[in-house]
Amino acid sequence: MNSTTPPSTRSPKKSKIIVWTLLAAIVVAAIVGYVLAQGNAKTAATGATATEGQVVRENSRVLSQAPNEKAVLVEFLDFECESCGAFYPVIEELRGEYAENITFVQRYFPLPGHLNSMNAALAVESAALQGAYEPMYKKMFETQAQWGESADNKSALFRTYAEDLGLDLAAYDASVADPATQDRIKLDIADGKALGVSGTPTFFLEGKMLTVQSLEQFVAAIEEAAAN
Amino acid sequence: MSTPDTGPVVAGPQGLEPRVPRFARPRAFGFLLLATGVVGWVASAVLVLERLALYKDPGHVTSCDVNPWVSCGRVMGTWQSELFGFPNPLIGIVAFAVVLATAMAVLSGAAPGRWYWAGLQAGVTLGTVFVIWLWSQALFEIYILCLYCMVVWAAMIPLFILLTVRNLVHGVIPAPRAVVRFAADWAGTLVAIAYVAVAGSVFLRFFPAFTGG
Repeated sequence: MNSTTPPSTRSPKKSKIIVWTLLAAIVVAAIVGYVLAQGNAKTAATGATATEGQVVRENSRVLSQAPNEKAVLVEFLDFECESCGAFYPVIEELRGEYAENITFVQRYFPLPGHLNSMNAALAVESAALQGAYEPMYKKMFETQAQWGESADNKSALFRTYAEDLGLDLAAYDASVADPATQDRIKLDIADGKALGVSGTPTFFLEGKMLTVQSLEQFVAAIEEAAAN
Repeated sequence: MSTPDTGPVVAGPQGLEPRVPRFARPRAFGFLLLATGVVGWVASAVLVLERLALYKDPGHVTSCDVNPWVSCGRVMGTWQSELFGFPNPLIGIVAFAVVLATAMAVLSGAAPGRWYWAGLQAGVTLGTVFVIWLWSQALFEIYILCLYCMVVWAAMIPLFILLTVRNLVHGVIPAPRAVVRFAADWAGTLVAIAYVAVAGSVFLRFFPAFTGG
């Protein structure tokens, strides 16, 4: 009781200095980290823009090819992004309705903020190499609620999807591990960035970025393109 | 050892009575309420106006649509932005007005009773819980930031912490003396820690957006 007064008036000052110093250090570290990261991003960007952005490439994954193609809808997507998940049923519906005239292409754009975005993209691309892009892409969005936003690596779960689809697992494992698969995804990201994609989903209709504010406008734009 | 009775004397009332920090005195606290109230109210008002503009024209680009990661317009499209069936900032317009009215009353020399401060504490605490929830939703569910919403967070942090400490110091909230003393000593530091923590959480979560990577 008696001894509490002297230290309690002195020690808070000292510990306060420590806490404030720590806070200042955190702020400084954040600023330094930010500056460094921005420097890195700049050098990375100059590397990427050397490969002029293209909306569709030879190797882009075509979800469905319209026999009587009037327009191509390209979606830059992230399998872990919730709004992409929300768009999934819409895309599937549109795909049914406008199968005749609209070709649907999808490109990988795994956002760095999600832990399993790249893992999911690798899984889907590996399935695609075995001709199973569509079932794997559906699987990802149908199960997104089970694995999205997880802090754990979900590659093992994705592998069970490959198993469910009856894929050759040895080939699947090989392509997931192959750096070329990741490079293939990074090419999509580089294209997206060069085209000004910064979030997902971003759609390109007839080569132009679609800027719509509502689902109705989105559907209307596609309807119009199909009718032309 | 000539004065054997010094020991018990230390327990005198002055030594243990927690000092009232400057911010917790009526005038300073009135200004504090005024500042946080104005900031919170203005941010809420802008959000309400932007929301109305969006109702009128769904294609309206709000003044805070900076990029895909920082966009009030896109946040307003989420269910979280109207938790109770109407836009959240309407709550801010009403609630920060109470804070402003209290600020004016206190600055005019009024000394509200204990129950009034307890009521204000209850309201501000509820508001803080709501803001914490919004923060978590913005960072981990929506993954889009809303500039003016963050201004509201910035106002709520000192409002909540300093009001709580004020009420501890003035005995509105009963607490052990050690807790009160700690709160009084550390109030400003706690605010700073909260600011750095919130800014840090935003920074880390949106790091790729800031660096364009």
